[in-house]
Order: sequence, then structure tokens, then C-alpha cells
Amino acid sequence: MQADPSPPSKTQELLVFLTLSVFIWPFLAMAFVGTYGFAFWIYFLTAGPPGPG
Amino acid sequence: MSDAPKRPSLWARFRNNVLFRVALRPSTRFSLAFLTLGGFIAGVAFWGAFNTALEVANTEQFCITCHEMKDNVYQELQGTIHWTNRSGVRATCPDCHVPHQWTLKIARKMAASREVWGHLFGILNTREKFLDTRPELAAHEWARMSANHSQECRNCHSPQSMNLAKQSERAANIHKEQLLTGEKSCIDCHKGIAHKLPVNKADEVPAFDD
Repeated sequence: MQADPSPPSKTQELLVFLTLSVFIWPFLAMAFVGTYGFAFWIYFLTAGPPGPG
Repeated sequence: MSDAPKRPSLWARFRNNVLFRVALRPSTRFSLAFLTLGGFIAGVAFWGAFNTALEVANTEQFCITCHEMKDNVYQELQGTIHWTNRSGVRATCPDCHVPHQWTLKIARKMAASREVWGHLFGILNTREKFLDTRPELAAHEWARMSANHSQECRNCHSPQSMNLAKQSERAANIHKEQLLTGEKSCIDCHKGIAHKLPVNKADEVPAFDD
């Protein structure tokens, strides 16, 4: 691991901050919820529809 | 060939990318207050957008954007008591066909990806194909509602609030014997009340056709 040549600029940090907050975390959140729903769907396909809640 | 410098792997290049390294180290330019506020606002915006999208996808207007729904089941609903009645309360598609509980709703939304597939490939794109598939489609909904003891009916109707004295004697007796004992739930008897019943081809006797 080489040492960083220079500390990151403000533009770089802002770019990374916006990329993470606007794209990456929302995308991961959707992927997580989608996987959650998909898992239940597959479970109901094999175990039958859910009973009374 | 052998003395050429080894090309770094894709992961190594990604890991050494300046922006990736910036992402994994403490910020040098922004305060924790700014970063947490930014994350907080982004979180509120995301949650609002997510729920808004979920609600939009849970409206009748959304359901009937597919002609399979609009030209078949939606038309049939319009002749029934769940469309017009003396009290002016009506059921829309998702009231009966999308579970209200969050996990089950998300599972149903994911299952709808199969309906998108069916729409794209025209599995039900004619009335004939729809009618041929209807026994299977209806069986899915009947099995689902029977398993959850007609939860979607009971979101509005409650056996405890039924005034048996206002029902016909026959209905009151059957409700008393089979519904109030928990032996049966709504869908086990009340099939085909919001859409037409599937036609079982095996039951059709050609000689009786006019």
C-alpha cells in the first residue's frame, strides 16, 4: 500500500459524498428490499401461501 | 512477453482508484455535522420516494395501464357490488389483490415481475389466451385467500360486525355454522363475486350449445 501523494481535494470528497448518498446507498437499499421480497416470494412458492396474519 | 509489466487486476485498479480511496478514509474537508446531515436528508428523501413509488404502484390506475387488466378483469368488476353500491364505498384492485402487511406486500411486488414478463411476451395478450389461463389464475388467488382466511375481505368485512338478523335465514344459518366457527372463510363460498368465474372446458357439453 503506497502512501497517498496528497490529501484529497474538496471537489473529490464532495463527488464521492454525492455518489454514495445519491446513487450507491439508495441502489443498495433497493437491492436489499428487492432481495427480501424475492426471498419471501420463492419461500411461498415452495411452502404454499402464508396463513392468516 | 515475459518482461512486460504485469497488468494489475480489475479489482486492484478499482481499489487503487483515487475516488475509492477517498470514500474509505475520514473526510478532510467536511465536518461530521455536514456529513451526517447530508446522509439524514438523503435518507428522508429516499424513504419518501420509495413509499411514494410504492403507493403509485398500488393504485387501480397503475393496474389498468396493462391492457390485460383493463380489458378483462377491470371490465368485469364494473358490474359488481364491489364497484357500485348504495353506500358508495368501493374496492379497487390492490384492496383485494395486494396484501397490506409490509413484508407480504413487498413479496407480492416482486412476484409481479413475473406479470411484467408475461406482459412483455404477450402471454395473456388476447381475450382467448386470458380465458384459457383463467382457471389457473383464479386457482392461485383462491388458494392464497383461502390460506390467509380471506384476509383481504376481512380488511373491510368483519364476521363479528355482521348482523345475522338482517341476513336471510339461509345465509345466517350457514354463516353461523361455517364462518363463525372458523371452519370456512369468505372465499371458500363467495367465489366469482368480483370477476366472472373461470369456465371449465371439461364441464361444457357441446350438445347443449345453441
